[in-house]
Amino acid sequence: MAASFISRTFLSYTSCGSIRTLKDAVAVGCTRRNFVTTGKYQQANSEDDKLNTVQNSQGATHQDPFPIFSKQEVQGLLERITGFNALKVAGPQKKPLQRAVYKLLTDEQLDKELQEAHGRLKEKLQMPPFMNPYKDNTTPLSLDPDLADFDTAKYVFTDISYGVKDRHRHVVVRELDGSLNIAPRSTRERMNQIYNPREGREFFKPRMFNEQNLERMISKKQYIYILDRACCQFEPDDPDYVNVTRRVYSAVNDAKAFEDLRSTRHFGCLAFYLVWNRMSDLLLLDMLNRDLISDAKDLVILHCIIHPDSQCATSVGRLEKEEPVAVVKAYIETEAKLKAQLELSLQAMEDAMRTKEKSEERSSS
Amino acid sequence: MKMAAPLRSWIRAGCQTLQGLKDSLSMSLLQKRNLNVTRMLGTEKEAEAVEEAETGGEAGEAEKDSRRKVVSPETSMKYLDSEALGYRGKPVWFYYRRNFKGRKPPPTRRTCIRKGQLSTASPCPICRDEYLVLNFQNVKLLEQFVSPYTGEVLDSMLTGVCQKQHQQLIIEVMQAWDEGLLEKKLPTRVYDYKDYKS
Repeated sequence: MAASFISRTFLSYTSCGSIRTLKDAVAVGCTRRNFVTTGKYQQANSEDDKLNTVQNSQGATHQDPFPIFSKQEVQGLLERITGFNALKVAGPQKKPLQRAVYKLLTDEQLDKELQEAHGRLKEKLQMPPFMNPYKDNTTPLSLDPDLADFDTAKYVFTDISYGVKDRHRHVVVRELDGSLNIAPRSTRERMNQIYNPREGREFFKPRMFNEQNLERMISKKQYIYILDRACCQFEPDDPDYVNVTRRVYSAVNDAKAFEDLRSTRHFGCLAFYLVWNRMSDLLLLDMLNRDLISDAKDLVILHCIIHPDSQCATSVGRLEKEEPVAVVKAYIETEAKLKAQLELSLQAMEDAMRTKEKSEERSSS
Repeated sequence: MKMAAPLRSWIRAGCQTLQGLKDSLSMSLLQKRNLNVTRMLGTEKEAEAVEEAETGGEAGEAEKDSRRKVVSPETSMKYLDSEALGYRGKPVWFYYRRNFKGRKPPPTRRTCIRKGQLSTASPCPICRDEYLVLNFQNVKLLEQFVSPYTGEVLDSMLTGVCQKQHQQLIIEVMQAWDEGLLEKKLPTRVYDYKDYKS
């Protein structure tokens, strides 16, 4: 069993104390079950979360948001809301100095190049997954009291086989009492960074994410940089990532600085967060003020998908045609907290649209 | 016959031994130039008294004969905001010209400052100005040494700083990146949603 185990996987062995031979390590760390192929030791899954739909005072459910977030319909809505300002997405970036390349192209070749460029830019707008923070499950794999106090330090075994993704890497810890446990997430993150270092991710959490520094950066409106660095440093279900991103989203909401995040990869998550926590009034107001009626409609539809039991969802469902103005009106009448302001801006927008249509008719006739 | 002053005094002193010659030479030089060489004075106490009188009672911690003022990072930050900054709006290394033979510049020197004072001619842009202190909080100074196009620290061959200052610069820039005072160049993280579906 031990021999087959070695041949199948590459095993890496680390401890705070002395390094022993692989044979000793395997003798200490190997269990009777072949835990590499059972696939039983997955991450903490969200099935427990799905069952746990406790309502709090605001009516937000403690559900796992990721299954809803990753739905195609929702992703499409969020993409449309994010928009695509090509100048902003392809804007000035820090990259290695290169000479400009000049090409002589036909019209068809130019169109093809533009399409490819558009595709590359779209990849930049991929939204980071919106998840709840993980819960560590420390189920013991085996209890071996005979092995208690084998050393003064715990041993951490990491499977460094090629082709295994960081999230699915098997990392186990031999505790001092002799039990073999699945490593907690923090240990797994450290091992991943040691054996599979990733650019932009530091081993120690950057001091930028401490309270003082975060506050300073938020007051200076460096929202995009904080979010980008959080994406590089943490996993989407890391408690630190969740805290930092939620903090930035609420700061953006308070400052009404939605335009800063538009056409970036973070706008979709911002909108989802606001709708999930029923705080989307300011965003809706911003959209109406900028005459983005289709975006406003998409936001309300998103609200209906996330909160299917709400009054807004039922009133929108009753509408025959999902016309943008009617949908937004349904939301304002049922769910909105800033009713007066939203009605006013909707009215102003409708008037502006009417005058625009009239002037177009006149110019065409 | 015209003789050098030290030689005259030696003859007057009538010293025969080498030590006597040395002593008398140094004494006359001392008298002419007012050099502060403590070991030539009588007792240690006298020496301390002279030092204190000269430095105005300051407790010189690091360098005994330091001609280089030690400036705090906060003062440096004020200096970079002040009108006293005389670099015409350009980075502090812009108008610095290195002296070397030939066309291909060699690597910059190891250090301009030895034993607390400038020990070279044409010191590098940071060493020549005591009020330019490399510190992670001194963002305005650090930004001048970071390329706005690549986000990397500029090579010492371009800026002309000595190697010791260049290493210190890299350390301070890395600390500023860590604290979030300077924006680092970040890669675009790509997610595979399948990894997150349980």
